[in-house]
This record gives sequence, structure tokens and C-alpha cells, in this order.
Amino acid sequence: MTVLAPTRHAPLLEVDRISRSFPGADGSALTVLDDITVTIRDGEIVALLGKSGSGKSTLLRTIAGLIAPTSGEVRYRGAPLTGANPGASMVFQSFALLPWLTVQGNVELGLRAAGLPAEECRERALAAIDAIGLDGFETAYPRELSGGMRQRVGFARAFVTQPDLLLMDEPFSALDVLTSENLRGELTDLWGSPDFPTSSICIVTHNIEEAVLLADRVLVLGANPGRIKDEVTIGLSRPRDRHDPAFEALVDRLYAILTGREPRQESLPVPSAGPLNTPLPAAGVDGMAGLVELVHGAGDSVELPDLAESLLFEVDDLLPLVDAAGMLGLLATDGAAVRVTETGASWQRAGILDRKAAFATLAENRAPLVRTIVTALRATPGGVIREGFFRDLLRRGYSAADTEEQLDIAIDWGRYGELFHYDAVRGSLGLDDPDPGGHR
Amino acid sequence: MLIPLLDVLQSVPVLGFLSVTMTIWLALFPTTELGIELASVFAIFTSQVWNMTFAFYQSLVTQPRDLDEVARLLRLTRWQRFWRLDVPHGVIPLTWNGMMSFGGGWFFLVASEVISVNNETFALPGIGAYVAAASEQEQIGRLLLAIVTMICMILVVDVVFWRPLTAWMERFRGGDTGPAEPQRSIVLDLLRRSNLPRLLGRALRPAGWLLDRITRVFGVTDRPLHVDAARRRIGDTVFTVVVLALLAWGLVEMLLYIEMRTGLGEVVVATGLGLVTFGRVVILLVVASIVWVPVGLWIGLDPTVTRIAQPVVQVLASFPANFLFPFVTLLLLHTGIGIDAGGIVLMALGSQWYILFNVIAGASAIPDDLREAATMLRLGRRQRWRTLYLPAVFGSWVTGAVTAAGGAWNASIVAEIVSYGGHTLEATGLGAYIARATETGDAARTLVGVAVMSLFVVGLNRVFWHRLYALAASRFSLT
Repeated sequence: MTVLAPTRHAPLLEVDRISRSFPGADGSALTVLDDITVTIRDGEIVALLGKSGSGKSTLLRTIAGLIAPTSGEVRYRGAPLTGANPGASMVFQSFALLPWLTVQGNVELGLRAAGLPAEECRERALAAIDAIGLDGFETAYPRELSGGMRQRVGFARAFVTQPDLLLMDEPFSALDVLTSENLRGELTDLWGSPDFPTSSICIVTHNIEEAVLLADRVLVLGANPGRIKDEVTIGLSRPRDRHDPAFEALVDRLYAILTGREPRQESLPVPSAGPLNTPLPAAGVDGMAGLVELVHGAGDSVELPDLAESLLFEVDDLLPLVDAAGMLGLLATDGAAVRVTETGASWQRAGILDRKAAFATLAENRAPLVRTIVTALRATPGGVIREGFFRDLLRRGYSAADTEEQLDIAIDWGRYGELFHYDAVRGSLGLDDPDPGGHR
Repeated sequence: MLIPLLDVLQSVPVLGFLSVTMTIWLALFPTTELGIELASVFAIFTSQVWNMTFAFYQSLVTQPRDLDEVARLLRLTRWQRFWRLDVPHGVIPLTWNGMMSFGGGWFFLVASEVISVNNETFALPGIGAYVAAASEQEQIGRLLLAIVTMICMILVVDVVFWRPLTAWMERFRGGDTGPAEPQRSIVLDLLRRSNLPRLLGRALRPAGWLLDRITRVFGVTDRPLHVDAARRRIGDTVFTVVVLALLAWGLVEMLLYIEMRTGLGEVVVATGLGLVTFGRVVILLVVASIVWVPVGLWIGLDPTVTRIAQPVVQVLASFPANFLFPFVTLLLLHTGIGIDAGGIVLMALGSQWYILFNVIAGASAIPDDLREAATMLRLGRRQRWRTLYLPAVFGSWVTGAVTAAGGAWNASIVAEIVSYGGHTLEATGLGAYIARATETGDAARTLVGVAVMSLFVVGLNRVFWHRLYALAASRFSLT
């Protein structure tokens, strides 16, 4: 980039012990990022890999200088950020193109912001459009383009200002499988070419294969609170082959890191597990049933990467289901392998009504929030409580959006198991059957 | 802090406001017509500016987060951000809002061209004054002529201004796809095919670049990462205290003034009259809903009928109802129906169209899937209405009814006292109270009347309509 920062020899970007927390409802803080230190050097691609909710997008936006860390600092070429990072540009998951500007207008935007003369703006924009394969689309509006074409515009807009650091926030996950594969390939080609304008790339992804395909280093983020769990160096030469045993070994290792070392509810949750420290995974009952059935069909045990590939799923879509089934004891995980438990097998064989009854018992015993709700309802004369009560309770540990999600999941599970019913108009939860243990 | 204030300002009945400001303008420009001219322009301005401001504010708040992030990361200057992001994003709500208030504008224009203040009647050259004079002299032919002229005027403005504008602004729609049936405008097509835009563009481009340069001094659109929380809190506190102090001071001054001039008992009288007018507004809403909801559904559910009827309704909605007042007054005089009941008809003439207009829009937005499902389930006519049509248009009905109620309150000021020839009919109500006070130059009573009416409108919005909005959004939203 044209910006010459104070010390050219300082690392490109340093993230120095940053934490980020949001104030909770009652003044307590909710930590999203916890004590994260990252250094990005010239000439490397770094991938931030994590499940949803691990704060990886928050970390990327902190690097971009769009949000401030609660503590710690981010330095670009040795100079602490005070606003938007002067050496970075960003590619967005949602493309973030201005719908009322043409392709050329969108690409020119950053150059005009830099105050370059009109003729230079035009020339450089056309060159960037050409390089990314959008020749002939200069005067088209974004809505006339397919998703893949739009993301190309997003790339061109990011390249054209020749930033030091290119930030990418899940740039391929809004695209279909084939398009994203194609664009990833083109990105690799561009990266390999000598006149590629940016010095480093930092990409956020939840797709393990994508991380292994593109990155030199993969930083795995864990959730609640987000912290760096592990760092894996990818030493493979480019272009990389998915069927290379070394590649597959790296993918398996990352799967194991991502799934394995989380506190897993293999047995009953420890007594202290409550709704605040053990969130319900965002999974529906039908999804869990489908997963158990699939694993059962594959011989009661399967490697997660294989399962994901056969379903054209990404790990982010699959993990909540695995976590939920694990929490209820329907599935057990061991590294990257998943197997159906005894309970899971009998649950899967049962008819609709028995399945519901069995689910009710499991959810009540193993899902902390469901148990809390059922216990509270039983202790209340009349067995009806307004949902606001539980919302207030959850707000002590969750953000507003997460609170709603937790409530929705618990209500979904509880309703399916006929543990309680939910009245959307009054916003209240009520016991289906005040007699404990009995089900209609 | 400013938002509730804006909300209040946009609910204040403009016609009442007009009589208050008229005095100020007349004091500034005595003896000339300029004063009245300015007062009348000012009234139109106030009738539109607040909800336009509100609409723009809403659009700023609902800006997608990533577009804001792009603007900051690309280091757009403030000027560039304003024209590339803020304005384009707000164009659609601003235009629709402008179009709606423009229709209302005709009404106020006509009303403000002839106005009596301090026992003096002022008239401005214009069609509103023409109608007033014709009505005074019982010349039905001239009245009809004025109506035809007005319709032509509205049609012309619609064809050469609003149509092209609404068709053009389609390009500012966010999201992936354009509407299934895009707005078309012959005038816009004509303009697009001509050389005019290109020539204009070429002429203006250097100026644009120059402005782009000059405005760099305003800085870039980024905000500092770290703000001093204590300083900010102090700033907020000071601001709040100042605003509250000003409000309290104004309230006390107003009460003292009223107490000195008429006594605070007048507020009770005005509130009583307000209840009577409130009754009229309620009856109007109920009757208009019973009549227009089925009609609107019928029109909206049939695409062919919609295409023909929607522009007609749009014109009807922007037609200033006060042109029709002389005819209704004549009818009331002949049949002997009192103005107390007849006033409702007068108020309805202008405001009922909002309900129809919105219900049509709501009905045409009912997804085909749901209608097909209703057919497959063999729902009877009654069931179909109860389970599908009425719930589906509830949200649109609320929007229409709020606007209609606001319009009715406003209209009451001109509808509760009407005259034709030598006959004057006066109803019991807050509108008549304000009109009478203005006419006799009783500033204190005018103030009481307008304040009480504003309280009614704002109070009802807060207590009643906001809840219906919330209900519509949570239970009857189709998305």
C-alpha cells in the first residue's frame, strides 16, 4: 500500500493481548474475546478457524479497526490503531456492494476516497476489473450479477487500493459449492502471481478444508469465551491436493482440535452445569434424529469429515447437531469419530410416541436450561410462568440475541418432549402435565 | 432524546399551527401580501418537514452494518459517504414520504390561501381562494371548474414528476432482485432516450469532482475507536438538562399566559370539546374501515383491478377534500342534517382514502401460496376472510388508519365550521373551537385548542396505535 507507516520493519500487524466484552443486562460483562495475541507477518496467509460464536468475526473487525478492543491493542506496522486500519481492506461474506453503483463505481470508490485524479481512478479500476475476470461487466449493477460475480467485484474493490493486508470475512460461504471452489482456486492463482498487490491475507472461515487449502497458518478459536486454542502450520506447497494424505491428515487433526477438546458431555453433566455456563447447541430435534439415523446407517460409527463431505455440509452446520446429540447422550464423539450410543440406538428405533417420551427424559436430565424450566414450572402453583422470567435469568450470562436463541431451543426441545407448552400470545410457559414423569 | 420530540412535532395538527404562525409572519411583514405568502409556504413546509426528517433518520438507523463498515474501511470522506451511502439508502422512503405529504400539502395550501386572523380575512391569489370566493357567491359552475382544474393539476404533477421519480428510484432498492412488476414511466423513458442526461452529466461532472475535492476538509467518515466515556456522559447530561429546562420553561410560560388571559378552566372546556371531536374520529374510522377494507381487498386481490384502481385511488388521496366541502354543505343545508353528524362526512372526504390505499397494498401482498392453500382446504367465504384476508391486511390497515386519524384531526379544524353563501354551519367540537378562536384573534384560546389537540393526537398514538403496530408486527406479519 502507499501508506508508509513509522517503522517499515515492524511486523505487518500485531494483535497484542486483546479482550473484548459486552455489558450484560445486569452490568456483568460477557466476554467474546479473551486475551488474544496474534502476529501477521508479510507474505503469509493466516486463517482464523472456529465454530459460530467463537468471536472470529469480532476478532477480524478488531484487526480492521472497526471495533475497539476492551483491553489490549492492535498495531499496524508498529503504530496502534485509532480508527479504521489504514493498511487493510476487507472482503465481506455478504459482498457489501452498494446496489446503486455500477461495478466500476463500486471498484472506484476506494480510489476516489483516496482523492486520486479521475483518469487514474478509471484506469486502475478497469485494470482490477480485468484482472478478476469481470471484463465487460463494468456498467452492470450488482443485482444483475450472480453471487460469484458479485464477490469478484468485492475482491476487485479490495485489491484496487493495493492494501498491505487483505481481510476476508467468510468470503465464500454465501456461494454455492462449485462457485466457491472456483473462486478459491482463482484466489490461489492470484496469490501465486508476482504482481499480486497485497502483502498478506487474513481469512475468517468455519470451513476446515478451506483453511487447509489456502492458509500458511491456521489459528483455531475456541468458544465461550473466544481464545486461541491451537495453531497449526500448513507446510504444503501450492496448489494443494485434497486427496494428498498429508492434506487429509491436517484436516483430521483440525477436526479433532475443533471438536475434541471442548468439554464434552460424554456422561451426565457435572453437577455445576447450569443454563448459564452450558448453553444449548442450536439444533432442532429433527436435525438430531436425522444425524443419529445417518450415523446408524453408516454402521453406528463414522468419521466426521467423511460425513460432512458426503452431505456437502460444512463443519459449522454439522457441529451444533453433533454437540446437541452429544449433550443428550444420543451420540458419543472420540476425536473426529462419532458413534451412536446405546441410548441413541434405542431412541432411533422407537416409534413416534416412545421417542418423544424418551427425549423428554433425556432433555430434562441432561439439558440444563430445559431442566431449569421444568423444575421452576413444577415448583410454581398452577404450573405457568411468563417467559420474561427465564429471559431475565438468561440475560445474566448471554447477549440479547443469544438469550432469544437459548429460549427458542429450550422451548423447541421442551415442546417436542411434551414437557411444557408455550403460549406465544401471552408469552408464557406452562406445564403440560403437572404430574412429574407422566406423559400423555 | 430528539426522536420523541420529532414524533410529537409530526403529530401536531398543522392547520392549528398555521393560525399561530400566521400572527408571527404578519408581525414580521405587515401590510404586504408577502407575510401571508410566507406563512402559507411555512405551513406546507411544517406539514412535510418533520415526517421527512423522521423518514431519513429511520433510513440512517436501518443502514446495513457492512455497508457502514465498507465506507469506513475505504476511508470515504464525509461528503462522499453522504452522497454514496446515506442519501441513496434513504431515497426510497424519502420519495414515498414526499409523495404522501405532497397530497396532504394540497389540502393545507387550499386551506391556507384564505384565512381569517384577528377578524380580518386574507386571500392569496390561487385556486383555493377561487373556490372560497365561488362558494361565498354560490356559483356552482365555477366550483366544478375549479375541481376539474385541480384534478388536471394533480394528474400532470403525477405524470411529469412522481411517476418518473418512483420509476427512477427503483435502482436504489437494496436486496437482490427488483420488484416483479417494476414501475414504468413514459416521461422517464423519454428522458432516458434523449441526450439531456448525458449532456447534463458532462456539464456537471467537473463541478462534482471539484466539490469532492473541496469537501475533503470535512474529514473522513471514520469514528475514533476509543471515546472518553466520562466526557461523553457529561455532554449527554448537559444536553438533557438544557432540553428539559427549555421544555419546562415553555410549559410554565404557556400555562401562565393561559391563566392570565382566559383562566385554566378553558383547558377543561377544550378537553371536553376534544372528546366530542374524538368521537367523530372514532365513528369515521369505524365506518370507513367497514366500507373500505372489503373494497380494498377486492381490488388488491385481483391484479388487473389493482393496476387500474391504484393510480385512481392515489389521485383521490391527494385530491384536496376541501374543494368538495361546498357541495356537502349544500346537501346538509337542503336535507337539514346537522353539521354535528355531517362534519364526520366532511372529515372523511379527505382521510378515508388512506385506509383504502393501504389495504389495497396489503391485499396485493398476500402470497399466492396462502391463497392457493385456502382454496385447497376448501375454506368457505367466511372462514377465508377470518383466517386469511383480515389477518393478512391487519398491518396495512393499522398504517392506513393512523394516517387517516391524523388527517381527520387536522380536517376537523376546517370541517366543523363550514359556510356556503350566507349560511354558516358550526358543530360542537375542538376543531370549531380552534377555528373560531383564530378568526376572532383570540391567541390564548387558539393556543389552548392546538395544545389540547396535539395532546390528543400524541397521546392516542402512544397509547393506542403503537400497541396495534406492535401487535401487527408480532402476530400478523407475513414475513
